[in-house]
Amino acid sequence: MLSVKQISKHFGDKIVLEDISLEIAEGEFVSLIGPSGSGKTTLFNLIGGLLMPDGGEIWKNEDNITNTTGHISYMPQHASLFPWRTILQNVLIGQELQGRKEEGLAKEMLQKAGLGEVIHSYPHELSGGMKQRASFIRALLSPQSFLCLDEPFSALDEFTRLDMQKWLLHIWEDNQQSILFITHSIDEALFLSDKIVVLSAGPAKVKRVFEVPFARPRDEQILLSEEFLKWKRMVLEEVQR
Amino acid sequence: MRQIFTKGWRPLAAILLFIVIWQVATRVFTIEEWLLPAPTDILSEAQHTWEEFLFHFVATVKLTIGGFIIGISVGLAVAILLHMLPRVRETFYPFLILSQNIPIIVLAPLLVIWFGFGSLPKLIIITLSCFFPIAVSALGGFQQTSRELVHYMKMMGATKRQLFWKLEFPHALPSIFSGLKISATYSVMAAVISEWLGAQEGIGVFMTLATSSFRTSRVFVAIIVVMVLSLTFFGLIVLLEKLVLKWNKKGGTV
Repeated sequence: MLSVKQISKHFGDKIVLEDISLEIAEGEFVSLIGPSGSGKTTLFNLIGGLLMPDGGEIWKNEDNITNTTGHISYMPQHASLFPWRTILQNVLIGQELQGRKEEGLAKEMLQKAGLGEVIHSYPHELSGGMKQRASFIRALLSPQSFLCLDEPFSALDEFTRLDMQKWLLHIWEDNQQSILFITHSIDEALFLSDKIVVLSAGPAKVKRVFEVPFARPRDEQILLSEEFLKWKRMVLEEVQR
Repeated sequence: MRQIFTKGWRPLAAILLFIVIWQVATRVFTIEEWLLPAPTDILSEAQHTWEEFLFHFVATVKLTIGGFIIGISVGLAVAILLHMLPRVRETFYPFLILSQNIPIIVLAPLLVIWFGFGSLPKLIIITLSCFFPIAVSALGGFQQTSRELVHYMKMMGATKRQLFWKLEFPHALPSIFSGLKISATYSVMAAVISEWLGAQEGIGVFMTLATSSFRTSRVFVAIIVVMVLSLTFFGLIVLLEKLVLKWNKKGGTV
């Protein structure tokens, strides 16, 4: 379990985060939604240990991980694959940093992710969607069990995005790692997550937490159901309020 | 191979045309051989002297390779040091540039006075002209590492050492190779210049002897060999670059 306890952070005169508390249970998928500039990325950098909070602490199970790195796995907005490494070498980098490589497992995961054909290709030979898949597999393969995803699909076109969301659900339902997911899209948050945390802007505070009621495994049919639209309206009202 | 031919015929034709004009001009205007020898004179001189010349040639090649290797090692070491220690970079970067403002032609005799006629002053001269392009291009490459990739590595908990060897160094390789290409050509020039000042062997010695006895054809033989040598070194680096940077789209089609 990862707990963010009453974190606050300011840069100069500007207070970015104020008294933010979150909990992500083992195997839980939590989305973080809020207007741009609401400090979501700052929160990620704090959880990743790159920044020291002004107040509050971050705990992973029984360890205080405030301002220490290497406890989470990360998937950035752009694929950020290394151009000189093949796809296989790329997805192994997270393990390399922590010391042990499981090439067999990596190959198996790439195969399942539909990237079996391109394990020895270089990133520039792949489409945007495939790069994001490789990037997600890289995050999954890293030994840390807790994943932070920073708007991973925002740079993709609408069709690829829906494909990727379904694909991510499919892969994730097999692995059940804890995920904290930043997104701009309410649809995406509702479709994917167990819990949605709505942030306010300047300074960011936790406005409200929604428990998403849809059963798993989820189907894209729910995107068009009455229930889904009702929830979407509720979340939207909360975001705009 | 065909690609080389289709792309290469233009410069090749230009060179041939140039040689023909040169040949014709020396004959038409009856220019003395000690002033400007015709290409055919140079060719026959080359046939004459190649046995004697080979000895000088080997000496220069050895000196060039030795100096080049020391030069790139020093260049890379300087770049890594300055990159890892920002304070040191701020303090010593101006010295790096100043080191290139010393005219080598003036420095060389001084080095001979300080270190004698051995190979040490010569290696210093080559190193001095080789390390700078490498150091500057490598440093530039390290500094321009994609911010996104650095952020990823830091979020994943990479140590400073991992960040350098897994990200910054491979990222800088294309820049380092452009530096290597410049240094490779500089190293031949620097080796010849270093031989001008007190050496027993080398193309530089051969040149000074030929110049002082007005055997201009010999000078031209030396000039052409130096040019070919530079080109060869350059070509070897390009070849190595293609092998190492297979992933780089611009580097090759492999």
